[in-house]
Amino acid sequence: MTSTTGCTAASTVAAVRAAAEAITEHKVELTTLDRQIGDGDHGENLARGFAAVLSKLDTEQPATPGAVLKLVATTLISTVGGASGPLFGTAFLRAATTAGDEPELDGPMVAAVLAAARDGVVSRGKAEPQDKTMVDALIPAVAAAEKAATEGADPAQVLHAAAQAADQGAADTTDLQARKGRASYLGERSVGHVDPGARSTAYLLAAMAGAVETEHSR
Amino acid sequence: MTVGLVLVSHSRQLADGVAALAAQMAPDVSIEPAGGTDTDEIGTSFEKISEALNAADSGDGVVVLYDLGSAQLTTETAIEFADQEQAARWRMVDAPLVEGAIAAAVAAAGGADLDAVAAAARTAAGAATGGSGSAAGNSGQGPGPEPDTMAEEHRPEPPGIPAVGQVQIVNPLGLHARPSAELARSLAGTSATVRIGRPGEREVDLRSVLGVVGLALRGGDQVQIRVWGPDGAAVLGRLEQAIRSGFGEADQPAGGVPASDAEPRVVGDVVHATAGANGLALGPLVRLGALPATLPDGASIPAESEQQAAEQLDAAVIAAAKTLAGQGEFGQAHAALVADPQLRSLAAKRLADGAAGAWWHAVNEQADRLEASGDELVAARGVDLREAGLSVLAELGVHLDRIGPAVSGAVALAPDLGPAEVPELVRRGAVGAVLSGSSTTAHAVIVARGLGLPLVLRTGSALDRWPSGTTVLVDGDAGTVQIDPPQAVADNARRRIAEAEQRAEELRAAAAEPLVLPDGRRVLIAANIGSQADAVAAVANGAEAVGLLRTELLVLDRNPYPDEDAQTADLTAIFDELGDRPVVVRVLDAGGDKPVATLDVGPQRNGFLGVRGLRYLLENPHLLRTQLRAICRAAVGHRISVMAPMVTVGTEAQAFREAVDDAVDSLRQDDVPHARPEQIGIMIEVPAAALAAEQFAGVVDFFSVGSNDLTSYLMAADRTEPGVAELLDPQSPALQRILDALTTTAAREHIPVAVCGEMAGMPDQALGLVRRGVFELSMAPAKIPAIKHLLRSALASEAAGGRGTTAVGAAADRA
Repeated sequence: MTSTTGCTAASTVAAVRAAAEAITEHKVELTTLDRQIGDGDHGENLARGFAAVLSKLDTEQPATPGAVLKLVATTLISTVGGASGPLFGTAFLRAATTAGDEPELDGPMVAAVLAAARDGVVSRGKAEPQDKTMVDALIPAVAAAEKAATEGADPAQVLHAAAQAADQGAADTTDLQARKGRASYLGERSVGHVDPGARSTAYLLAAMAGAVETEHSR
Repeated sequence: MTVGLVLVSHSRQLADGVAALAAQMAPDVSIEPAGGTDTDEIGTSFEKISEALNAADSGDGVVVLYDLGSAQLTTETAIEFADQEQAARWRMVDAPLVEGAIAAAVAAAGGADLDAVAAAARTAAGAATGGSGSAAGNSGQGPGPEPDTMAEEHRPEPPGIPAVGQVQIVNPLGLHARPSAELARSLAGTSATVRIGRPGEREVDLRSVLGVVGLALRGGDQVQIRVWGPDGAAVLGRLEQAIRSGFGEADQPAGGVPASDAEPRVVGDVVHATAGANGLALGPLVRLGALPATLPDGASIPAESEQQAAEQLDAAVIAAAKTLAGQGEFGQAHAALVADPQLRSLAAKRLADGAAGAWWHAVNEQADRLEASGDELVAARGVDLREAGLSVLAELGVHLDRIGPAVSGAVALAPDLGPAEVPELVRRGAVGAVLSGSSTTAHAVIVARGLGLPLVLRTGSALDRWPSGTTVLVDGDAGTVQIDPPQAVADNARRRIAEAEQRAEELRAAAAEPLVLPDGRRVLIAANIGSQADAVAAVANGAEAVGLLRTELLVLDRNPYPDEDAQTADLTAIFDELGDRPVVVRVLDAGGDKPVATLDVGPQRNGFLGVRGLRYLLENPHLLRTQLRAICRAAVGHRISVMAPMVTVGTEAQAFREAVDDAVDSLRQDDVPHARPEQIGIMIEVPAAALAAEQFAGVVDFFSVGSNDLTSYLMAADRTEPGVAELLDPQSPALQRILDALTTTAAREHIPVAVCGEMAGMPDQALGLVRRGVFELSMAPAKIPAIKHLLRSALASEAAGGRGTTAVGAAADRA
C-alpha cells in the first residue's frame, strides 16, 4: 500500500489503458448490441478510438490527470465516427476541464470530474433520462459517485461505486424505448435490448475503477 | 474581408456541391465545405470541420450550416474545442443546407455583418417553411454595411425603355430563397437589368436573392417585372415562364399556412404534436362533443303557441349568454355565439317543435355549415357553437352531457376544452387528454398542468381515423400520442406511471422542506390559488407561502356581487387553511380575459389594453375599498399582504397604497377588528412598469412578475389566440432582457421580486429566475414538489461541480 490514495497522472494513464483493453475485449458484444438497435458500428468505432489513444500514450507523457483526460478527448473526437465521437470526446473534455491542473484527484474531485462528464454528454446530446442512451448509465453512476465521495470514499472506491451503478443503469435500459439517436427510429422494437452506449460507459468505468485500485494498492 | 461560410455534411460530395452552387452566386466569399469522414466515407470529421472553420474565418466571423444530427454534434464539439475568442464569432444556424447557404453567401457578398449573414440563412429557413422570418440585414445593430438591396428603390432607373410584364405566382410558398435564387441564376449570361415587385410598389433587383425574398411574394400574388437591356423581351419571357412553372412546388399544400399550424408529424403509430401538460397516460380514447343532432323524444316540450316558444327561447338565450359571459375567455366567446341573431332566425322556422327542439336544430344546422367550410379556424367555431348551444338547452331544462361517465380511466379527445371542463374531466376519472387544437398558453392547458392531467395538443386531424375505444399512450412531456401501443410498451408505460405516482408522493414529502441556496439565501416556493380547494392542495404539496391569491373566482359566480361580510367570510375560510403561511392577496383583476358577470365590464373598454385590473378599481373606488376592508378583517391572526394587478405608472401604485391606508383608517374608526397588510406590492405585467421600475421605489414593498401577461404585452400576442401561440416564448431574448432590466433595477432599489406567472413553474426557467435573485416562485400547487426537487438538485450539483465548497453543498442538501 502506498501512503497516497489520490488519483495521479500515472493512475489515470493506467485507468485509460484498462478502459482501452475493456473496449477491445467487449468489441464484438458492443457491436452486436448496436446491430440490434443501431447501425452496428459502436464497438468498432470505440475500439478504433481507444487504439489511437493507446498509441498516443506510448509517445506522450501528460503530467496531470487533466492532461491525460484531454489527450483522450482530442483523440477520441477525431477518430471515433458517428455521434459517439463527439459525445465521448465531450465527456472527457469536460472532465479534463474540471480536473484542471491538479496533480492528484481526491474522492470528491473524481466525483466532480464524473459529474462534469455527465453534464457534457447531456448538454451535447440533449438526451433525457430514460431515453435509452449512455446518459442512463452516467446519471446513476454520478449519483453513486457523489454519494460515495460524501461518505469519504477514496478515488478507487468512488469509481467502483460509479461503475456498479452504471452497470445497473445499463441493464435497466433493456426495458426502455429509445428516444434519441438512431435507435429511436426503431420505436418499441428497441425495447428488450441493452443500449450499447450505456453498456460501454459501464465497461469503461469498471475498467478504470479496477485499474485505479490496483495502482493504489501497489 | 467578408463573413465566411462553412458547410458541414455527412457526404463529401454534398458539401462540395452546395459550396460550388453558393460560390457561383457569391464568388468573393470564403465558402469551406466539410463533408464526409477523414477517409471521405459517409459521416462527419472533427478535423475537417475544425480546419474549415479556421480557413473560412478572416476575422469577420463564420456562419456554419449543417445537414443531420451528428453533423451538428461534431460541429458543436469542434467549436467547444477551439480557441474561445475565435469561436465567439462562429455561428451555427439551423437552416436548410442549400437555401441557407445561398442566402448566407449572397448576404456575405453584399458585405453584411455576422448577425445579418446568420439572419439571412435563418430567413431562408423561414421562407422554406412558410414562416415570414425577419428581413436579413435588418439587424439594426451599429452602422454595419447593409445589403445594397435595401436601398434599391432609391436608385435611379437605368436609361431606356424597359420591357414590362405582369405574372401571377402559382406556387403557394412563392418567391422564397430557392425560387429567387433560380430566377437570379437564370440571368447568368445576360447584361439585362431586371427589377421585380408588386405592381406599383417597391421594386428590387432580381439578381439580389435577399431582396426578392424580402418582398415576401406568395402564391396568388401578382408581380411586375421590368427588364432593361438589348434582349429585354426574351429575358422577360423566360422569367415569366419560370414563375408560371411554379418551380416544381405547385402541388405543395395550399395557402400561406404557417408551419406551426400544419398537420402534426405522424411516424408509424406515433403522432408527434405539441406537449401541453406533463405526464404519461394510458387508456382508451373517448371523444367528447359527440352530441346528438336531434334531441331525444320528449325532451323538447311543444309550447302552447309559437309565440310562447319564442318567448321561452329568448329568455333562455339571454340567461345563458349572461352566465357564459362570466366564464372566462371561452365563455365570453360562447356568449357572443348564442346571441347571434342568425341562429335565432333559423330557430324561428321550427318553433312549433318547442323552444328546445327548435334551438338545437338551428345550432346543429349552423354548426354543420361551419364545419363543412374546409377552413380549420371556421370549423373550430362550429364545435364552439355546439358547446355554447348546450347552455341554452340547459336553461330550457334539457341537459346534454358533453363529457359523460365514459371518461373514467380514459383519454379524452376533443378539439378544445373550456377551462371549467378540465377539472370536471379529472373529477370523472379521465387519465389524460388530447386536443386537436388549442395553444400551450390556453387556460384549459394551464388548468391541466395545475391538476397534473397529462395533455397533448394540436394533433390536428391525425387521430380522426381511430375509433373511440382505441388504446392510446399519451406522453405529455414529449407531446406524442401512440396509437394502440404494443404490449411491451404499454407494460413499460404502466410501470412508469406507477413509478411517477410514487415519485410524486416522495417529492411531496420532500417538498415540505424549505429551499436554501448555497449562499444561505432562502427561496420561497409558493402556490397560486383561487379557492379554498386550491388552498388545501397548496398545503398538501408543500407550499411555503401563497404568492398569488386570485380573488376573481370568489366574486365570479356571485349574484349579487358579494358584500364586505361575504368576502370576509370567503377569505377567512382560505386563510384558515393556510395557517401562518405568508399570503399575497391580489385585489380584483376584472377585465382583460376575466369578465365579472355582476360588474359592468365589456370586452372592448375593459379588454387587455383597456380599463382592466387596478385601472378599473381606481375608477370604481367603492369596489376596491370594500375588498380591502374585507382582506384586512380576514387578516387578523394571519400573515397577509396585498398587491394590485395591471399597474403601469408610479401614481397608480401610490393611489393603491393610499386606498389601503384609507381602508385601514376606516376600519379603525368603525372599531372593527382588523390587521394591516404586512406588505403592499404590485404585479409587474406591463413592460412600461418593468422597464421603469425605479418609479415604484419607496411606494411598494415588493414586485410580483405576472410573466404570462408580461409576455403577452411585450410580444403583442394575445395568449387566448392560438394563431400567435408560438410568439409567447419564455426564452425569447426580449423577455429575458426585460427580466434582467427589472431584477437589476429592483436589486438597486432594494425591492424584492417574486414571480407568480407560468414561468415560475417551468423547469427550464425557474433556475434562471433564482439566479436573478428572485425571492419567491409561485406556481400551481401540483408543480411545487417537482420544481423544488429540480432546484435543489441543480443547486447541489452546481455546488459539487467544484465551484462551491463541500460545506455549502451539504447545506443545500439539508435544505
